[in-house]
Amino acid sequence: MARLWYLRRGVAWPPVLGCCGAALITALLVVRWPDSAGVLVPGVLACCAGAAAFVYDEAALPVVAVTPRGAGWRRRLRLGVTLVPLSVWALVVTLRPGDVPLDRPGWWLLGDATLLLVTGSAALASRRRVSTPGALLAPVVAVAVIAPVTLSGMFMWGTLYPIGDFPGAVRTVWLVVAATATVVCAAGLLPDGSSVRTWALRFAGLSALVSPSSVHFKERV
Amino acid sequence: MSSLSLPASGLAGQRAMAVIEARRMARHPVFLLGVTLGFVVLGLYFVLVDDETGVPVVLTLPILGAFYIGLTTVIAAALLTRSTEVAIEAVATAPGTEARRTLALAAAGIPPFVAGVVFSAALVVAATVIGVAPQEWWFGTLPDWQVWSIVLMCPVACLDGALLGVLTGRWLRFRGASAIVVVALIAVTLLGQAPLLDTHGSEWRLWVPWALFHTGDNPDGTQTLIAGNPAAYLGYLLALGALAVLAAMWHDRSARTPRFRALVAAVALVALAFFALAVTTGNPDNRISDPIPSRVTR
Repeated sequence: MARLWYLRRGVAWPPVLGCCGAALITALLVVRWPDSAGVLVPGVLACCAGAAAFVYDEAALPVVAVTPRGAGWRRRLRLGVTLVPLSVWALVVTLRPGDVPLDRPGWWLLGDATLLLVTGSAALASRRRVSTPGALLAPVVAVAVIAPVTLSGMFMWGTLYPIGDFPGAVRTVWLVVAATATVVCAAGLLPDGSSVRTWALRFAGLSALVSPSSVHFKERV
Repeated sequence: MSSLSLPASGLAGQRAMAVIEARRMARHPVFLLGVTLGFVVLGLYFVLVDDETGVPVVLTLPILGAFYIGLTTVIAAALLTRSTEVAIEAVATAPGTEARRTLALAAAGIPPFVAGVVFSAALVVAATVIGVAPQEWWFGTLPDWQVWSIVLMCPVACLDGALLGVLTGRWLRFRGASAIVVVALIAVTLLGQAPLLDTHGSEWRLWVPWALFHTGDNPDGTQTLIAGNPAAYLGYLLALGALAVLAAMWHDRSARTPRFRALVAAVALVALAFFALAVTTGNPDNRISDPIPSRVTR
């Protein structure tokens, strides 16, 4: 119950839902002008990514961060809100507006990778005590998501948003983005006071190098 | 703090405020990122897209500057405008009105405009040094004024991006407004002209904020120059930018004097006149270039 209560009151729902609404409106434009899907479908993704950027907006961050539940609990809980723009994206790709031949697994992958990367970046910013990362992240992400469209027509290396077949090379690029997003998310969700290096050492079984007892170990040595 | 010690009114105070806003834009990380990306992509194009005849489709390249510098400028200008709202109570007690501050914010368009001019200059210099195919739409196959007008659309779009950002920051208070504006701008620009490009009425596409005049290489090696007068269109873009500033100033109720309303109406009429000129003069129909043999793909 506490979780739902917090999510209902803590999350900046107007910008999250507003961007999701913009994504659905853009999807309707694809229904009307399917020939322009090469730009409009990335536009849908840009809106969903914009929504994900607002997941970690919290005006009262300095207050919330020192509550007994702590900032880590808050960040883990908010990650679940990414499911809202993810669901919008999954719905659009599943319905294939305008009968645009989108390769569903490929487009699900690129959408999930992008949204996870954006959410992870917002979580990282929130971890660094930036209370409203969405204000800057959302528009920058919107431009960044659409930018590859301008390049595909000019360079010979193809497009990152293929309509029709989804080439293996493009899938590899998006798998790399997804892997990066996973790392960024993990880094963003780390408890306060610990670094990626600390957790990597613990994961490698070298906790003696990072735990408080290591101080005594050094003293004895 | 320096703005509080400015003269209460007059040109000197306005100029000082404008210099501050231009400096803030020139140092804004989003703007700097956009400029860097724009020049990197342009450089990559010259290095990677090689053709024995020279630089391909030169007249399509201003879109790179307009996209990377212009769109990021929309974001940066909106953030700059909104940033002063945090201290609205303190700012409201300072000398000057909101309309004056908005007018000063319009000076944030100077750095993007300069960046766009440098981008266009780099484009022209590189195309001159590397060369272009003799059939390419460029100096020699087009009147010079048409080439310059299309090339200069880049800095004007960068300037207009800043002015649109100021307008966005003044009127749209919800978070994520600039993200929605960027996507809407792209959607309107695309959908407003794409269905018209290959039709006899292609000149009617010129109402959009970024009109294509060159479609790139066709599969048979030719290139299409789209109808319309690019010089008049440039005037139309400048008038749109002026309208954006006036619409942003309109946010201040005290600025809505009869003189100001007349000015808005006059600029709107000028924009319409330039639009009419762009549609009715210049190239009446789409023009197809001679084929460039090395670019034939079918």
